Amino acid sequence: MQLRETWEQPAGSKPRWDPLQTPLSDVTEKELLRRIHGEQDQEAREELITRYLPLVRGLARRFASRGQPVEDLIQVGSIGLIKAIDRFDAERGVELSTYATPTIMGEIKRYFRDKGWAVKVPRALQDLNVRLNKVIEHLTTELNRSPTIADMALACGVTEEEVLEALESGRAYNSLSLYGGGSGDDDDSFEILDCLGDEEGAYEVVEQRRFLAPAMERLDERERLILHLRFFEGMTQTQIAARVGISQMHVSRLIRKAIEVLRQEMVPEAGRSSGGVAA
Amino acid sequence: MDVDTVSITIPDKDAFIPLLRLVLGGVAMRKNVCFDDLDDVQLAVDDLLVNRKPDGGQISMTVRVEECRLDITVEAVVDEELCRRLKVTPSDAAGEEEVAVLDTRTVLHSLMDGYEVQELPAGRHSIRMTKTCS
Repeated sequence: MQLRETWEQPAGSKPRWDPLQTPLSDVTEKELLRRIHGEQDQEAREELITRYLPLVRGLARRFASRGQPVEDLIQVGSIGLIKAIDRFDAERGVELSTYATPTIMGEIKRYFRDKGWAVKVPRALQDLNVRLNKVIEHLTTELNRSPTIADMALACGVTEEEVLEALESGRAYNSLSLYGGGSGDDDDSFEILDCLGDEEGAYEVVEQRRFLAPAMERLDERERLILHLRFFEGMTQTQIAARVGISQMHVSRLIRKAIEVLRQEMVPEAGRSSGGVAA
Repeated sequence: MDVDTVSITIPDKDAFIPLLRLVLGGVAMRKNVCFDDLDDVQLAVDDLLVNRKPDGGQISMTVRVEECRLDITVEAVVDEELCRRLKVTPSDAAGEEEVAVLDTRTVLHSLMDGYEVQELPAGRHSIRMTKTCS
C-alpha cells in the first residue's frame, strides 16, 4: 500500500503507467469502457480503439471494390469507431462490437455519399459502372477487341446513353482517388486484391527507362509499368490489361490516377501542367 | 465523303469539362468507336485542358468524324509554354533530354495520331488532334 502511494501523481494528473496495475492490454473491455466514460481515461480509449481496428479494417475492405483507397476508408471507419466508443452506453445490454459495426459502416457510407462521387450519381448508374468493369473484360476476351458502347449496352441490357453516363460517372468517382490503391501494403490495397498480379518482368524495362523524377516515386511499380507500356511502348489499354492481368477499365483508371498524381507532384514547379515529369 | 460535325462551347470552368467527355462519348457511340479509342481521346482532351489558364471565357470543341477518323479541335486559353513544347515532337526532343518525359506532349503524341497548335487572338490557342479509330 505504501509502495502504491509512492506512484500517486499530483492531483489532476494521471499516472501513465503503474506497475502494480494490470496492463491495459489485459484489462477487460467492460473495465476499459468504465474508465473511458467514468474517468475520461484517454489511454483506455486508445487501447479500445486499437483493439477494434481489425473490425474497422474488415469493414473497410468490404468497400474495397468501389474505387476508394482502403487506407482512406480505414481512416474514415476509425472516426466511426471513435464515435461508437464515445457514445456507447453499456447499460443498454449490447456488445460494443454490435453497436460499433453499424456506426463504422455508416461513417464509411457517408464518406462515399459525400466525398466519393464528385457528382451525385444515382445508385443504378454506380451499379452499372461496376458491372461495366466486368462486361468490358468479358467482351474484350469474347470479341478479341475492345468493345464499343453498343456492345456494352447490349451485354448489359441497357441503352447506349446509360452506358455513357455510367462511364462518365466512373470518371467523377475516380477523379478524387489520387494517391491510393496499389501503393499501399498488400493487406490494405484493394487493387492488389483485385488483380493479384504476378511478378512482372517488364518492371526491369521500366527501370531502364529511368523513372527518376521524385514524382514517379509516388507511383507504385505497376502504375509506372502501365504508364511505360501505354506512353512509351504504344500498347493499347486492352493489351496492357491482358499483360498486367487486370481489367481494361482498371487500366484506364490507373492511367488517369497516375497522371493526376504526377500532375499534383509537379504543381509547385510547373503550375497545373503535367509537363516535365521524367519517365 | 460523309463528314459529321459536332460542336460545343462551355464556360472555362472545371465543372463543365465533363460535358466535353460526354460529347466525345456520344460521338463515339454513334460512330461505333471502341472503348479503348474513346478513352484515349477523352484522356487527351482532359490532359490538354488541365493546362488551360481559365480567363472567365469559354472553351470550344469541335469534333469532325469522317468514317473512322476523329478530328478534334479544342480552343481555349492554354499555357503558352506547353503550346511551345507541343510544337516540338517528343522524338525530336529525345536527343536533347536526358530522360524520357511524360508530359502533355507525350500524352498527346501517344494517344493521338497527330496534333497541331495554332495561335489565336487574345492569348487563345487552337489545338487540333486527330485519331484514326480501330
